[in-house]
Amino acid sequence: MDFELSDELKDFKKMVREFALSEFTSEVARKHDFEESYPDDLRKKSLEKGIIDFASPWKTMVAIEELCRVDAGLGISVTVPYFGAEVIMLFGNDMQKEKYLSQVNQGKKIMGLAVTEPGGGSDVAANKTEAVKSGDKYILNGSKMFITNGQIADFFVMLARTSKAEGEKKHRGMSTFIVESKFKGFSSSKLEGKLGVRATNTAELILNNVEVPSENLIGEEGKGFYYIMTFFNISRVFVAAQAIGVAQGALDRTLEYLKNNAPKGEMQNEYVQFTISDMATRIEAARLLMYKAASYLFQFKPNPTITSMAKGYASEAAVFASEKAMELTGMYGLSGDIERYFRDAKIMEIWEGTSEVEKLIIARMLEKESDSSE
Amino acid sequence: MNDDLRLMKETVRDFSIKNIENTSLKIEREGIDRNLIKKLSEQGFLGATAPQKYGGSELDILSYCAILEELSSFSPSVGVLVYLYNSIGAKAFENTSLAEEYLPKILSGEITLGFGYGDILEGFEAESRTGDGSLLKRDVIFPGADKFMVIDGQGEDVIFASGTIRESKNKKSLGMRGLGISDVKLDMAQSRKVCKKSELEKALGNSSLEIASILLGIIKGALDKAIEYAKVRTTFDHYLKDYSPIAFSLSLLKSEEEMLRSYIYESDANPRKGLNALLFSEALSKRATKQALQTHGGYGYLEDFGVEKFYRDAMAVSTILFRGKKDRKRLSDEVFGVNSGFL
Ligand SMILES: Cc1cc2nc3c(=O)[nH]c(=O)nc-3n(C[C@H](O)[C@H](O)[C@H](O)COP(=O)(O)OP(=O)(O)OC[C@H]3O[C@@H](n4cnc5c(N)ncnc54)[C@H](O)[C@@H]3O)c2cc1C
Repeated sequence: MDFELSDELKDFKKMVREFALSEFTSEVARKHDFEESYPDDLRKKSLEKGIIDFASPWKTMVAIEELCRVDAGLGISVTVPYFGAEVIMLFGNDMQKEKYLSQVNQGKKIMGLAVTEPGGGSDVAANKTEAVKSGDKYILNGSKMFITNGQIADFFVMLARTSKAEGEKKHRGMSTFIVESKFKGFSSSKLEGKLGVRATNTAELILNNVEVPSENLIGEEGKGFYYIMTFFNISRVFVAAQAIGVAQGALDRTLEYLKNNAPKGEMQNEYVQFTISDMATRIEAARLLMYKAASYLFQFKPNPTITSMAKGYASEAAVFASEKAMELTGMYGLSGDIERYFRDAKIMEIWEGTSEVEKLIIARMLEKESDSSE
Repeated sequence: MNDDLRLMKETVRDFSIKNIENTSLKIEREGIDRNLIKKLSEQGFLGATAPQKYGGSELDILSYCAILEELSSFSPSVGVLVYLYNSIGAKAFENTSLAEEYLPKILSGEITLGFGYGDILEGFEAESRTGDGSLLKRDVIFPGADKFMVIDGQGEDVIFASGTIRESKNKKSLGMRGLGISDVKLDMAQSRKVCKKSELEKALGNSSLEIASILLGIIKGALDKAIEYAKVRTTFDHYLKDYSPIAFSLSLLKSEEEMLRSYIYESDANPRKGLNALLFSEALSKRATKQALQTHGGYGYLEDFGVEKFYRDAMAVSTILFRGKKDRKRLSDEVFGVNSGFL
């Protein structure tokens, strides 16, 4: 058991931190937060500088944490253009990987993952968007809600129903498609007024008789639900990294305040000391859970229980740490950058499986695992 | 709660439904407009506790708390505005020579009043002199106002002066967006002394029950929205209210809200009542607004649903009006009867 990152990863982490500190300045972060604008220049720069190395999941995880530590809105914005890529990587064919994924890897295209609908996010099997086969095409109708990159992505991995929902087995008739935003009948409208992560682009997608060529079906028809759940078991590790970044950043900035800006003696007060100890302990515990989930996953032995624990716990740690950071820094935090951490943190408990959904997964797995003799 | 209080609450509620509910999103985006301030004045809310001779309503404290609670349950920004006018503004002016000249104009909404007192909060350096003799005040609440009540450059006195927003910060405030928070440059040439800073500090310290009432309104506004939403939203073929974690947590929070309300409106005069209510409501407001937002899922994260503002405002009120360690220590001192909790 070794709790250290490899030397290579440590160097990489340092490089990412330096990049984030020099590029994600207060001014830049505030501007994109205020305007709710996507930082495309930073996306390109982070690619050029090798901050994003999609070939290495460990590096991706470390980069996400370090970037979000400085600013979550910007950090997520530059790492999310690949959102959903694993679905194509694992279940797509060579043509799809060549035509779509390679473009994304080179930074020439942006993608997104469209699962949630206005009527439901947690209950994925209740999705209503329909895909009806017609000759060598599928015709898609429906809508998708809260889709990250919704307005800027060139294409989406999209979940749609290919056969009618039947009672308990609703999740069976679903399939995933690659849907280009330039396909006729596709439209999107930006969702404004988010509490946090305001640099990220979020939109509602409308599909009005969108014709998708059959070759854009990912894997097999009817297996979409399974593909998406497999994907979430991967991406949740990266959300844990986002959350830990936010939590760590909130702690960094609190310590900086206590050392440099707080009234004298503040750091010696035990109430303050206990609070920062609590923040740090939760962050460390969350990070260990994430490393454990990642090490299972990146060795191709995913452990959904640990993954859900990591995502759920890290999200709570982010909300906790940012709340405590506000409490300890008061007006300084309110008028400076710390309040942004407080607003950004809350999304972690919502997207890619709410905290409640993670708990349901953990409980189901516990029930299942307790049947085996181990 | 007696019938008078009940009636007062109904009146404020009707007023809020008519004048705030439909525009609450606009208030968040564009700020409270003068028209609403005029209406608050006409109803006697703006000067709820101020002397009648200056245009106030001279209401008792609990009626005033009822106003703060009900307004805040629709728009915490409006609740905080009324609080600042009464508990800070009118209080500071009351026994001064400026009262006659200015209070009637302020309480009628003719002159609007902004507040810069961030430096009362522990150790916060909130201003600096600029070269031209004007005073730059950081983090002024309601910076778009005509006149301002702020702590002067020496940190001794409260002064009253005209001023202008220095520059837009390119940043939305965390909470109370209906009022806004920004830096203001004050014209010191025309400034007038109002009272000692210590008096303002005392006024803030004495208004714990009022702040608790604002937080109670925030708690109510957030929980009611979540409870309504849990009745209509379904996941996995069931209403959210049917799931035990959601039902249990919202209903327990609701009962805590109701206990807080009974406590605030009970008439015994426990000298610790205000502080008790403040510390309890501060913690509860954070938990309740968080659960309310969470219950809304992704919709909770967008301003359109009107629930995230409670989450922001609970934190902002807790930062700006509640004084963290200072108030916790005040309560400890009272409970132990001697200086305590200082290490
Ligand atoms: C900024 C943002 C970006 C997003 N990006 C994407 C994206 O790129 N792609 C995408 O597909 N989706 C995206 N989402 C959607 C997100 O994943 C969903 O919001 C989330 O899954 C929750 O779904 P919902 O909003 O429909 O909430 P609901 O499913 O309606 O849930 C509401 C509440 O009920 C709780 N709940 C539900 N069922 C139960 C139960 N059985 N027991 C206990 N509690 C329960 C939930 O935990 C939640 O608290 C995004 C959302 C946001 C806000």
